Amino acid sequence: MRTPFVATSLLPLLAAIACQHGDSPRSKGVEYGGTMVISVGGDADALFPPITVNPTSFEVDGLIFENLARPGATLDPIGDQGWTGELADSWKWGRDSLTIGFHIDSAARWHDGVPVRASDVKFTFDLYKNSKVGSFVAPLLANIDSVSTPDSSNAVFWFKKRYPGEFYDAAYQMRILPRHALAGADLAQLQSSPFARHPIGSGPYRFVNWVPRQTIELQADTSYHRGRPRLERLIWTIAPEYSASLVRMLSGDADFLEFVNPADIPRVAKTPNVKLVPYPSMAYGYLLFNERDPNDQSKPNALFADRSLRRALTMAIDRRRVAKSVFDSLGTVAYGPYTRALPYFDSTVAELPFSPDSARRVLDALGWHPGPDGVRVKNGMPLRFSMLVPTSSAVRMQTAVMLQAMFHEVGVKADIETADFVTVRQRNDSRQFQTVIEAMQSDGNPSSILQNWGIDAAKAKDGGNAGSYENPQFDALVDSAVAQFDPARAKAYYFRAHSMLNEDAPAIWLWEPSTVAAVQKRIHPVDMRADEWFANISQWYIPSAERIPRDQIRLAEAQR
Amino acid sequence: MLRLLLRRAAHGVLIVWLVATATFFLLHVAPGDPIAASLDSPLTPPAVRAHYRHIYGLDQPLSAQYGRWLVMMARGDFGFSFPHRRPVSAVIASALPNTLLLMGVALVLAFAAGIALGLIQARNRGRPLDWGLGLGSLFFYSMPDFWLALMLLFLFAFVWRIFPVTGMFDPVMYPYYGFWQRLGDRLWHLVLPACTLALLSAAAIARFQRAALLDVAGEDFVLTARAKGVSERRVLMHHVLRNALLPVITIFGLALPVLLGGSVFVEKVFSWPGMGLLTVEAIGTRDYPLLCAAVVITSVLVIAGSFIADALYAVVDPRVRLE
Repeated sequence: MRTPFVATSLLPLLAAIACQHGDSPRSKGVEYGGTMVISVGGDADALFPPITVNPTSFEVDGLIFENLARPGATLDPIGDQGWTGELADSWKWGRDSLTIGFHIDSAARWHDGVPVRASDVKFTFDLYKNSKVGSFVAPLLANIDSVSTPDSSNAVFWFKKRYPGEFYDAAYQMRILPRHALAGADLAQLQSSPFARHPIGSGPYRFVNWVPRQTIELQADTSYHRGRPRLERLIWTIAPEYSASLVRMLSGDADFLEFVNPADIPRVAKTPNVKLVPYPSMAYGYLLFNERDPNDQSKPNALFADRSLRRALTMAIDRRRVAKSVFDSLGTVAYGPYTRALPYFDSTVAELPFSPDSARRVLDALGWHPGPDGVRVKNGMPLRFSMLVPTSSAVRMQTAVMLQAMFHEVGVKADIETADFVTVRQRNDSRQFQTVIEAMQSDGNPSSILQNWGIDAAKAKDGGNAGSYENPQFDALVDSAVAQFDPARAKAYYFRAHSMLNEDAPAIWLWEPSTVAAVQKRIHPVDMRADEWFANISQWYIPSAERIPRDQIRLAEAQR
Repeated sequence: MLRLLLRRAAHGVLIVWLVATATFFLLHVAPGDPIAASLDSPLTPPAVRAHYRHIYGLDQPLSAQYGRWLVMMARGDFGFSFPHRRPVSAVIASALPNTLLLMGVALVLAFAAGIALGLIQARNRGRPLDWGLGLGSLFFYSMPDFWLALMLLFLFAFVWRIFPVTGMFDPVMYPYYGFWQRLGDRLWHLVLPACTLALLSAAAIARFQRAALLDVAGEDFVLTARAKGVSERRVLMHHVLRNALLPVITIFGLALPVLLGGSVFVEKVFSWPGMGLLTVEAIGTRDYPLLCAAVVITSVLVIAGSFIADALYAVVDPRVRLE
């Protein structure tokens, strides 16, 4: 079995590099100016937050627009502990906890100079909820009844029921939009409107220019109400070919590359002006079992409806070896659909062990006995299934090869079935698969776990629970967690729900990769958050002694 | 002549319709659609996908979608690209000039270099120069375009730092340049991708040109010209080259659609936002309207290219008559 070339262990190397350059914020005079060129693989689609699912759009929007408040480093979605104001400078809960009133920072201005008002918040909520807009966030706002504006500075959110995620939903699900620029617009056409290509926000950076499929440029808003950002210009350059992005980074043409392939890390580490910055990831990978018959979804799957069989198959897989082979020391075993970067991650969850002997014993007990060719058979049916893998993912292809060999060891024949990404997606949505190797990005809100593993999502056509895992107890545990106002009790329920996912084995939880970015050393301090790597970018800076020619652009304006 | 043009135009419309119709149905029977491809996260609510499918008519029967598409095409409306969130015409309008620039420069370079190399080889037939140039042509002719692109990128942009790495302009300085600086910057960024394409094509053209020149050089009318005391330069340029251009003109006609189709790999490696990469990305995102538009444009160009090649034959060879 082939494993990728990666230096013996990458983590010590990364740790050494981080220490060597001692990134700590300067305590002396604040320095403004400089240009950061960010190399990304794909262009934005529209710069309009309600419909943005594209990663580049999401990044750029996150700097042009603001939420009402932002979470602390723990990303805790319960209550408002650790949250800091963004567009709002304070908030007040109603006595019955069915309302939250946000006071808008009186210094906040749209980039065209118009003050931000509470009416903008109400307008934004109504726009997100309007079915003509087609916002994917709208269903997440279902528990908010309305927003009222007692005066121009206060926006009050009214909730249909009391629940722990009230603050998260009100403060963080929506990026606030300017009413004066959008009022009267055709809501169905907003995605292709001039605003979506030339947005006006209230965030730390203002929009300058977008050349489709080439560059997007933002400039620091010197009058930003929470203090002007220190880097003057941010330029996204689009390079669809990863090798070209890497060469850009190594040659100094780019300052920031969000993701470095593990195989390239030793080479990047040797580049004098570039530092590697590991940051937590919210991604995880798994082999999903389809518990319904792909040809007749009213029937259970002849193989995977059997919980014991799924558990036996899980025990046949050496997940640590898979993670190590695919990611070297930059990957760890996933414990479920929840990563280490999130506050409700349970490191003590009871996993099914890697034990091929136990797997064989269970399969024997279930009546699956080895046939003449070594493949187990029961009532004339071989224990054979396909693993659907997108051809575009080298990581998943490599994972599939390893899983195939490990299944073979216990007498299970797994065929690798490849298809292009869209076909895999379509077959996933229509449940036309036996098993599929999936890679997913966790959502910051732990209750979103139901969108992939809950009963409603299994029954809904096109729902997110493609494997049709159905366990009312699991749903009940998540519902109980969602209803808890005490984070400790919520955590206990979530832990039990995660434990159930490991016991029921609706999927084989495979790996959770760490992410490593490459950044030019002159940029400090580079602290990155799992959910939005750019969340603290306003505080990044380039010391004057380390500036290069491109940092001199607009320097006079920046120093004014 | 007019009757010929009308007949050719009628054939052209029929071919474009057949190709476009086949493309439409082949694309729609492939799994997935632009909504599933763009809103690919399982966290996207099904209702949102259904909303967009309804807006773009993707929930209608295929026959209804086809009828609507035909009417739109007849009006010159290419539709809306959901992955780009823009009208297809706007997406193509932003990519087409980039491809025209790159492929146009590359084609001119390729044909100029190819014909010149073929000429030099033919004049030095059997000598070390012919042998060396032939080997060089074969080397580039047999090289995959993405590999050559990556090698040129690595050597000239990374090791020697002579040319910029990727893109069409300097993203940092370009807005602050004057007209001439901008022009220079654009040309500077054009060098590596255009040379990659030109090197690959010139090698093929040179081989064709050399063979054609040597064929014609043995013809009776060339011997007659020499016997009449015509200078060797005039024999080569006036009698031999003109007659030996016919196969190269055929290649030129076939190359015209490529002019707009672009080169996927070279565009990808050099981050050149042209039609080739756009079309391939559209396949990945099942961007039906964009793909259909690209196919229609390409088929129109294939027909135009073949007609232009026929016309050039008539210009170069008096024996050929368009009638």
